[in-house]
Amino acid sequence: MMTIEMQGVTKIIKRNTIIDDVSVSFSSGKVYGLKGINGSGKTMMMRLISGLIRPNKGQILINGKQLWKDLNFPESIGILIENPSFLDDYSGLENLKILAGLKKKIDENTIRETIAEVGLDPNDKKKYKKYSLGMKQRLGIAAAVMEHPEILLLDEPTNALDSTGIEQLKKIIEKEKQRGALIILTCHDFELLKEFCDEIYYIDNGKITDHSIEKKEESGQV
Amino acid sequence: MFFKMVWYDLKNGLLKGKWKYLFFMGLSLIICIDFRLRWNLIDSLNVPSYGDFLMYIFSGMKEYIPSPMTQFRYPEIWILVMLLTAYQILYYPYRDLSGMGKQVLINSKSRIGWWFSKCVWILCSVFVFFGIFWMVSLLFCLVTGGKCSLEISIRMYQYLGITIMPDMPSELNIQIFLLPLLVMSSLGLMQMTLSFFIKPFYSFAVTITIFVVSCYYMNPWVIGNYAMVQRSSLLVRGGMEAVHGICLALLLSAVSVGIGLLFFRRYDILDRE
Repeated sequence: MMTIEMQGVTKIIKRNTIIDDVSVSFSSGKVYGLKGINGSGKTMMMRLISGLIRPNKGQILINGKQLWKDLNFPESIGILIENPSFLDDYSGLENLKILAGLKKKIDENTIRETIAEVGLDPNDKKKYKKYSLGMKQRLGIAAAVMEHPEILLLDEPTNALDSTGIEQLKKIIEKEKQRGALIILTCHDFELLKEFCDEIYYIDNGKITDHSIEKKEESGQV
Repeated sequence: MFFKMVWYDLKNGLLKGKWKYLFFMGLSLIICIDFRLRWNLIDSLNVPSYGDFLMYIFSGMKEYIPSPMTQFRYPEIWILVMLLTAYQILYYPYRDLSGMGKQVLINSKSRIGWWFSKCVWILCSVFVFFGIFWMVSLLFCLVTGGKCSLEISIRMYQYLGITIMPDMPSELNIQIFLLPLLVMSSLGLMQMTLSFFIKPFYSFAVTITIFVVSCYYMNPWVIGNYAMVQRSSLLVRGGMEAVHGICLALLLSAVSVGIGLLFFRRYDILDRE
């Protein structure tokens, strides 16, 4: 059972309070949504959880271990934060092989399967720089999920995706959820967010202002 | 994991991009041609040695003593070689963190490993770019019938206005290879550390300032002086001691890596570009 607890977390950047005394907890097997306008602090919350930025106040506990003290980064995490970035001169498969090669948790077949799952061709030799925005986004999603992480952070994963891409993303999220991953995502389209998520947190000016639980099991959605 | 990160950096930050190598080779070739044409005016009877070529590239300038009779003239070749190398190693670490390096960092789970990997990349890059100057000048020297020797001709000393011949020429040869390389490596590490405090553009401005100040002031605390062979204590009375240069370069490297590491361990990774 994976848990993330943010306890009184505040993040100040250049005298601006980006995240303001946020306390929230997430647990595995659920999909959480973050809803807020641009600049409300959604992406910063993801960066805080992923260990990319350090809170000024409060603490973030991953399975009881404190980030920045007991851990540098969460032990098993996949991220897609803002625009995906890969190496321009390599194909999608080559890029993911480079990333996967660091931990060697998965083999090439798994990478190929993940690439196919997001709707890309694993045998495509096209270089990343020639990819369309939608293809880049799909590869970003593949990179985040390929190692089957316990925590999955997806910031605006539907950006640049067409309807087929969104359907594929739904299937991936559902599969990862069934596997027991803790998924946090943001999405500008509120209807989609409601469709994807079990719980939604509303963020405004770096504060959590509201929380709703979606009744998908009853309505049979997702 | 650390070696995989180093390999990732070498592959993406060094082995990729043939144009920069072609540019450096072309530049080295132009410098060699320029030297050979000048040499014909210095000594049309004898051919220059490999040591003469290296001396031409890395000699820098003699001490500048301002007076109404002297005019300051930059050592164009030396400053070009140093600044182009510094520029080549300026952006990769910073840009990598805004790109795939962020994923690599999270996958590796080690900020320390990421930082040291970038330090290794800096050292390897400086070695490769200097290696291009060394190799192209050696090949050019051989192709044009020059002597494959590190011995520096008397004519070359005369051309540079050096009146003191080194007692131990082999020591001077070591200095020609080692000191510019060490000085550039340490300044490269300092430049990388600064680029995370201030933007890379400003850290490059600091590097330029150090080289320019080094040209104006012959001072043992201004590190660029040690990369100018003409200012070596082997050739000038009261000149730069190689041992001091090595110590200063190692000290600057250690301080840069240490401060950078402390800073990077708490560094907020935001998309800045």
